[in-house]
Amino acid sequence: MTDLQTQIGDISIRSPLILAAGVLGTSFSSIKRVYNNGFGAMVSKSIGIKPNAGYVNPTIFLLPETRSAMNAVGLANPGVEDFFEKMKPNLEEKLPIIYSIYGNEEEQIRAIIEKLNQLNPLAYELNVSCPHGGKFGLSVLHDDELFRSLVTTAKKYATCPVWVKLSPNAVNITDYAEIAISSGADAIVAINTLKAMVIDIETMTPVLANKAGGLSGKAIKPIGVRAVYDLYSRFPKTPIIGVGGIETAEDVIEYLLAGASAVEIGTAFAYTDDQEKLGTQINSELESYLKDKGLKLEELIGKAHKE
Amino acid sequence: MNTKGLGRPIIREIVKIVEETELTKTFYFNGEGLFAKPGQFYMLWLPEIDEKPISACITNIEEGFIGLSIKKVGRFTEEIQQRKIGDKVGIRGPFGKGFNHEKGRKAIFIAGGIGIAPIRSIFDLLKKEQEELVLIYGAQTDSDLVFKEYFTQFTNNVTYCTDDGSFGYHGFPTDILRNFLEKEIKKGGELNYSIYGCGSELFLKAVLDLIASIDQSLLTHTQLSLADRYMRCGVGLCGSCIIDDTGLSVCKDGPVFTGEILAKTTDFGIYGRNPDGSKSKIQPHY
Repeated sequence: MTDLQTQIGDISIRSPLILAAGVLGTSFSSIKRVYNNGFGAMVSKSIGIKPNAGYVNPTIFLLPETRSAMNAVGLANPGVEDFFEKMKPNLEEKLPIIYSIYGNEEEQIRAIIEKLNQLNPLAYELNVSCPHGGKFGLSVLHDDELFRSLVTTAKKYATCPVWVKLSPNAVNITDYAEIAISSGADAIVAINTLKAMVIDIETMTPVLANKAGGLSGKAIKPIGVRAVYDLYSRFPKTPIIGVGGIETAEDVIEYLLAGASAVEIGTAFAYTDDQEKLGTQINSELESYLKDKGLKLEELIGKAHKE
Repeated sequence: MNTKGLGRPIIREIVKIVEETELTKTFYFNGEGLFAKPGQFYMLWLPEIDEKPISACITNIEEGFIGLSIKKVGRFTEEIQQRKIGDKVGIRGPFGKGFNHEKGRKAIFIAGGIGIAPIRSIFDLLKKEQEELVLIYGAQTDSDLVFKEYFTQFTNNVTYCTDDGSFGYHGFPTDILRNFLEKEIKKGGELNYSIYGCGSELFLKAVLDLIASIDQSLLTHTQLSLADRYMRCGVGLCGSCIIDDTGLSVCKDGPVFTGEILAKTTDFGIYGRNPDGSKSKIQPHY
C-alpha cells in the first residue's frame, strides 16, 4: 500500500484529505463519522465566544449545474463553552481535530483558545475570511492591524500550530498571507468561499436570506488552484492547505501540484450518495495515481512550478 | 449521483387550497419535477420570510400535482396559511430517504397530529398494492384529525384517538398499538408487520419503546419519520440536523430511520438541535 501520509509543518496526518470548516462539524459524532471514512483530519465548524443562531433560512442551497453551493449561514455555532462540552469525548478518542475559530477582538481569541487548548487540538484554523460573517467575517481580514493582532494573539496562546484561512476576495491573496506569516501563522488555508449572489427571477428576490453569501464547490476550483500556486511561489517554506471544489483524486492532485501539502473537502459531501465512502474512494484513487507515476505523495507538492 | 431536485428553489403558484381543519390546510401545486417518494420532504420557501422542511404528503403523478398539508404551529406556518390561490412560493427538493416499502409484510401506520402528512404518502402507495392496512391516528382533539373521511374509504381497520375523547378512542394511539400487537401474538405465529410512523418525537419515542418491549425483532421493520427536526441545507452538508451518537444527518440519511438505528442514538426523543447547533430537551407538543 502506498503511503498517503503528509506533513503540514510539525503535524503529520494519515491522508491529505481534511474535512473543511462549516461542513458536518458541529457534532463530535459527525466529525468521527468523517474520520472513519478515511480522512486525515477534520476542521470543526467555526466557533466564536458566544452562541450564534446565524441567519434565517434559506441559508444554503446547491447549484447542481456547476456542482457548487451557495451559503450564508452567518457563522452559526453554539459558542465555545457549549462546544467544549460537546467535544470532550475527544480527550479519550484523540481524533485529529482542527478547531476553526473566529472573533474580532484579541480578548475573544484568547478566551476561545485558552478553553479549546484543553482539548489538545491538532491545530487552530483562524477564520478571518467568512464572506457572510458581518463584523466577524471578511472585515477582519480587510483591517490589517486587527488581522495582525488576532494572528499574533492566537499564536501567543495556542498550544498547537495556528493556520490562517484566507479569502479569494482580495486583490492579491499573497499580501494577506504575508501579514499572517509575519505574525507567526504556521500554515495558510486557501481559499474560503467566494462572495456571491443568486437572484430568483420569478419573485425577483435574492434567494439567500442574507442576500449575499459564499460560493463553494466545483465552480471555484480553478480560483483555489491559482491562489495556492501563487502562495507557494511567494512562500515556498510555508505549508499550504488547498480548499475549493475538491471532489475527486484528480482535484486533490491538482492542488498538490500547485503547492498544497493537504486539502480540505466540504461541498463534495452534498454531491455523493454515499458519504461513508467519499474519503476511502479518493484515497484509493490517489494511491493508484502515485503507483502509476512511481512517485511519493510529497514529491507531488509544488511539482507544477517548473522554474 | 442524480442531482435533479437538489438545486435552488423552484417557484410554483398555489393552484388549490383545501381547508382540512381549523388549523390545517392543504396547498396544491403543479408537481412537475417535484414528485417525491413517500417520506421524503421539501424545503418550502416564503421569500423574505423563512424556509422550513415540510413533508411530502399528496403525490399524484397521473394528474401532475402535489399537495402539502400544513398545520398552523408558528410564525412560518401562520404566514403560509394566509397565502391565496395564485400566490407564489419556492420549493426545493424532494430531499432525504423516505419510507422503504417492505413487500410481503402487512402494514401498520401510526401517526400523531400533523405527522399524518408523511403517513398519508406511504399509505397512498400501499393502498394500491396491498389489502391489509391498519391505521392508528391520534390528535389532541377531533378538530385536529386530518383526512378522516379519506382513510376510511380504503380500509376498515382505522382507529382514531383523541386526547380529550372528542372523537374515537379516548386515549393514546400507543394503547391501540399495544392491544393490537398483543392480540396478534395471542393468535400465534410471527408478527409479520411493517410499522410506519410519524408525529412529535416524544410520541415516536413512546411508539418505539412500546415496540421494543413487545418484540425486539420488529425494530428493523419499524420506520419513523423525524421530519419535525430543525434543518437547513437539506443535502447533508451543514450538519445542523445531526443526531448523536450516530453522526447521521436527518435531512440526507433520514428523515425516515428504522427503529433499530433510532434505538442506538442518544438524541432520539430526548434532545433536539437548535439553529446555533446546541441541543435542548425536546418539549411535548402535537
